[in-house]
Amino acid sequence: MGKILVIDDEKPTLRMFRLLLGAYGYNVLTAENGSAGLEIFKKEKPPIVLTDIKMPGMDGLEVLQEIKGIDPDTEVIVITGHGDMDSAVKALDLNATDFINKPIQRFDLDSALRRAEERLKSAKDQVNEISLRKLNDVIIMDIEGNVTSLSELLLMDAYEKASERSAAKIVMRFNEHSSISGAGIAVLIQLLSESKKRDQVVAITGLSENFKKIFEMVGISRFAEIFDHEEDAINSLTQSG
Amino acid sequence: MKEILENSNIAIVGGGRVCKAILEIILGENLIGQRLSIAGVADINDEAEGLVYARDKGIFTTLDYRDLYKDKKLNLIIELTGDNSVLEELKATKPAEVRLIDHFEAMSVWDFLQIEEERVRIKRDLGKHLRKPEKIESEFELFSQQLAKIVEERTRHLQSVERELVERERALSQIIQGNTIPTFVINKDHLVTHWNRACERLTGYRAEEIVGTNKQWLPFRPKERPIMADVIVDAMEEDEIRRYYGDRWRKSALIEDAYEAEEFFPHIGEKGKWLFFTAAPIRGADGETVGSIETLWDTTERREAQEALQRARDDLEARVEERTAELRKLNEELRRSEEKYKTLFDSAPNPIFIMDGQDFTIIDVNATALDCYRQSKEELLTMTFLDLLYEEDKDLEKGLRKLTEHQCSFYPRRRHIKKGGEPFYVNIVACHAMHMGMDCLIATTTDITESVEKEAKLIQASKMTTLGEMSAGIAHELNQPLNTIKMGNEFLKMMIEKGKKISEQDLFQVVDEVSGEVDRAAEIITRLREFGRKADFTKEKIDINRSIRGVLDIVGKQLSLQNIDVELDLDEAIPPILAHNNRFQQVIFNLVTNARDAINQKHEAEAESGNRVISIRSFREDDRVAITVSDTGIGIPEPARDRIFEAFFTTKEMGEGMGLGLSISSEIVRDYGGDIHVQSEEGSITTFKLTFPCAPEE
Repeated sequence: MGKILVIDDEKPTLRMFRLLLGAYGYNVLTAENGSAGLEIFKKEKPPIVLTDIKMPGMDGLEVLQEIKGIDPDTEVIVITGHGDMDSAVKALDLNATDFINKPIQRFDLDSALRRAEERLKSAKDQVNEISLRKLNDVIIMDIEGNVTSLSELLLMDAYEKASERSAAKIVMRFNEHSSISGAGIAVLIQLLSESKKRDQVVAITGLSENFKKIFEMVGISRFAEIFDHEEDAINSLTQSG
Repeated sequence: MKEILENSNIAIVGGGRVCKAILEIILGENLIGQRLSIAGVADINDEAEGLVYARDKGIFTTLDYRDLYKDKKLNLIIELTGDNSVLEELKATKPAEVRLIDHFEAMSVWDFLQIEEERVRIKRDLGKHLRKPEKIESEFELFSQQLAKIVEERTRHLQSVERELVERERALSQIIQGNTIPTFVINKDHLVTHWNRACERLTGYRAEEIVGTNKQWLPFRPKERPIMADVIVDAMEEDEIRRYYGDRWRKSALIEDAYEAEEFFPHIGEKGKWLFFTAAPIRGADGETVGSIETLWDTTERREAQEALQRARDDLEARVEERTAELRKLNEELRRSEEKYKTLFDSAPNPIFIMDGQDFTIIDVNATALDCYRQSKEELLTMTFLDLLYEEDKDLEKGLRKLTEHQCSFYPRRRHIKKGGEPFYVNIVACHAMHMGMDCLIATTTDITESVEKEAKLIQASKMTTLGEMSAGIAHELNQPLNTIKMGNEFLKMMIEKGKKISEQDLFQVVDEVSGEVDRAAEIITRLREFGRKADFTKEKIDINRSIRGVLDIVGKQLSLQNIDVELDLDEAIPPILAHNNRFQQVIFNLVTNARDAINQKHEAEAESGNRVISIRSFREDDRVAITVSDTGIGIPEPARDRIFEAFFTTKEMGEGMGLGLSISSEIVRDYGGDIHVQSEEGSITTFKLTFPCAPEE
């Protein structure tokens, strides 16, 4: 496996990352602060970077920005304090791959790392693709790739098509590896509020745990119910209809 | 005289020249056979001429005339001293049957003896020359001449006596005339003989008008009547005197047989006069009253003075009475006032203690005190005021001792003990006063336990607010060790699940790391507990450096995450202060978090924030411990500087602060006898300075 860079001001945390990520099979690089981390990044070019957000001196968000500035394809996972969604959203806006809450659960780490790996495997600047399919009276919108401010037109277009089919019931299915930025979330909220005016009922599925939390936090769950599985989402719409 | 002298046994008092001449005649050859004998001679002068002569002739002589009385045959005393007082004594002491011839009468004795001696001589010579008529003729001629010589001598003597009398009369008149005491004299015929100038001045009547008349009554009485001088001349009976003078007269205590009286005479002078008058008899040589002398004394002034004195006395009495009445009234008022104060004292809502100014023994307490301290009055009166104080507040005694007369002092937040030892907070006002003539102190205590408790609750609440504000940072702090532990655990779990072998080294590292992080978390929790705990009742000696470090243990990480540097300059030799550690920490917390906010506000206001530094110093300043907390934040604008210690004053945005931090901090600081001040240069540096008294050394 490749290199992974971990930046955290806590030495014990770094030591544990070494053990854990070492056990994953990564070549673990560590730095105690942002600027040291950037130095290592420039030298070692690790494809994946884990950085703590709260650090004295240069904080995690600055590190993220710098790294994205040097190499936008780098998968940067930010580590946030428990329940610190503000920082998480800010990080996503800066195109962070994912965020992990402290204390770090292996499951979260697994999924964040997996998504990063997946994204590294797939084409680097994969164009967002939204395909529509119909199941009975339900339109299923498959959203691949990352949702950012650039996704607005694509999403609006998909929505138009769905509306043309006079669909009253829509399921938005996200890819597990999709990342949704703050701007993307804003677009989604706009579309969903319009759907509500048109009496379209929307259900959402396919979100990672982290994004479920974000969606709940920003209030998207008020416009659209979120389900873990596609079937449940379809069922909820058909039953309600 | 012949009859008196014949057959007499004579004693002579006064042994001078006359005595010797008389003795020479009596003892001479011519008078032998006259049956005259000399009993003795007395004179106080042992060398007197007559006395010496008598002694030579074998006659009894003595220095004390009373010795002469011892001669039983004595029947005549001739007084030749010329001294009236001796004459009076002789009159008084001589035996009754003995006849006394005074020095005036002795003149006749002398004449008689001379003539008798001559007669005896001529008679004897005639016997010799009986047959010679020419001889008889010449003898008779001689006798006649001798007689004429005696008569001439006598006449001359009488003339000289008369001259002397006139002289005396003149001298007397001059004495009377020149006397400043109004005086007049009447003779036994009630005719005025003297009326002196002073009398003229007093009565307004001239001597020419009165002297020679019997109008002595004229100046004094509206119509003729006897006046005191007349009374004396007439030797009136007392009953008769009373007719004229009633009971206003009396016998003089000074002058024998004189009478005196005092009366008001409305006709004398302009407004009348008070006169005190004394009349005394003038006696002749035979003791017969020959006239009367009356002196007058104008007592008007004395009377007036007396009356004035009396009036003054009356006035004084009246005033005394008045003052007494006033005093009585005042006493009454005082009593009412005392009653009023007694009522106030008894019904006062606060306990009042009256205590001895020296040993603070309780002298009196009101009912409220009994209720408040749950003591009986008997118990309290056996205690001192200091006994009621909580052990640590006994230093109040020093303050009480410093109180000077009529001075009051306020002693906030002292602890008193109720019966059974339950302490409670009081504010004490003590005043120095005099109570029933005693040096004492009056102390009023106000139970402030409730407000102290409320304040404590408020402090606690604000502490919790502080904690709440810091919860994000604290959560972060706690999250760090939890994260490490969790990761270590996840590593072990993953290895076990995957069936991989954990190297000894890795295992040890995890175990070691976990243990260390648990300690770290526990430490944070301990600090939090310490801070969050309610303050104990008693203050303790605290090391402020340790307290400051404790605060930084909690917030330090948070500050460093916000890129705020903390500079510590602590004097390690600083003495402890008396305080509650967690309350003191709360003050430091408030100052540090304010400093942090000020730095962040400046950062928000300016793109270039410059230094982000909080510096904390501790040092000794005179006899106090000083702490400064400085920041490079936005600063406090002048208008707000005065208000920052007010409760609910805040410049922070709604929801960011209650505006209690500094207000409570200053309350806490003051509770420990401390001071808090701020100096601020807007946009550059703001310093809060605290000073505290050092804890007393044990």
